[in-house]
Amino acid sequence: MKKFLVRAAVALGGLMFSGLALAQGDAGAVSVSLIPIGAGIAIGLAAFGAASAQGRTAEAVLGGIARNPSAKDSLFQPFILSLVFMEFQALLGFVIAIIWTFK
Amino acid sequence: MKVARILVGMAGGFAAPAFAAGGIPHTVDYYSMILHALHQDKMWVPTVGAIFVLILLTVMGLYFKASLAADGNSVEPKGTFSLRFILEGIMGFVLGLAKDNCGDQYRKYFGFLAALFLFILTCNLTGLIPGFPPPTVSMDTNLAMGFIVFIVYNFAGVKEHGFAYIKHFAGPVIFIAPLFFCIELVSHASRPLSLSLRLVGNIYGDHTLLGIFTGLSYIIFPAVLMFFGLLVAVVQSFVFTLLSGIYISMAISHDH
Repeated sequence: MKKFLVRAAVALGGLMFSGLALAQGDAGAVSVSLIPIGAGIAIGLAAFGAASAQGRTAEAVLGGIARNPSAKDSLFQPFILSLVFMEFQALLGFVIAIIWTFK
Repeated sequence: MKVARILVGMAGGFAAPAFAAGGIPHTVDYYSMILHALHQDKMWVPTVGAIFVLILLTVMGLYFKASLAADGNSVEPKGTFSLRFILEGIMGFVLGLAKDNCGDQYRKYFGFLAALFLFILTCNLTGLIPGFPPPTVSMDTNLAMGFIVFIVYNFAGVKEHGFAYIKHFAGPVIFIAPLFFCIELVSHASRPLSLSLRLVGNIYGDHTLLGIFTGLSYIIFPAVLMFFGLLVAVVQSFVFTLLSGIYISMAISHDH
């Protein structure tokens, strides 16, 4: 697993630098921009973090409701609130990606 | 002549997304058709949408009043599925929200919260009809609402506490008050921004996704996304109203 990760990182890095090399090699003929890659990484990481955090929240809330079904009503509002505050971080990543894409 | 052109455009244009090269999917909508026929700029699309939603809400309110008067102003619902039934359900929901958050003075702020909820919900739901982009997809509409919320909760706090409202910004002990004041200033200034950014991010993202999927295939797939859009619309209007209620309750609370 570790080996695979290292290889993937090397391959990605190579791709990035090949993009740079292409852009520098014959300027004008091929212009490769790193902005879409950066935007993709930004929204991907933001979505990853927010999704894993929301998954933990949903797990905890569902466990709580399963143990004590009468707590459903009082859990609903804090549940939605915490989901929303996590989602805001993902939205910030989305906004950054949008800004860089349409710069 | 202009009206005829608008009508023809409305009959012919069914929100066909056309993909600009490398850009966002460029969609055709009725608002920009009207603006084009009137020789106006496309930047007024959210404004026209908001005006449309306001007209819709006014008509709904008048109809509600009329149906209530025709019923003899009875408190009891009729038991049939009608506009009155839907509106009373929504109002009951917002009333519960206001009761939970604003404490015993909820009646003062219920009108504001209900107006916010109805406006945002109707704005978001018009986005599900092809050819009507939701007005909340633009930052302008949302920032306006965010600033209104900012003004209202600060006004409520000043009205409740008078000059002592400034204690809310000062923290527990007096000698760290300057530090707390700076922190609270940033946190309060970011509230309207975060409210509007949350709404615009969700609605814009969802609407763009819907546009892309409609471009991929005109049938079946957009329906799934529309169901998701329905969820997002309801949840986001609920969240906006809930956060506004919480801000108001924090401003009028006495436990500091």
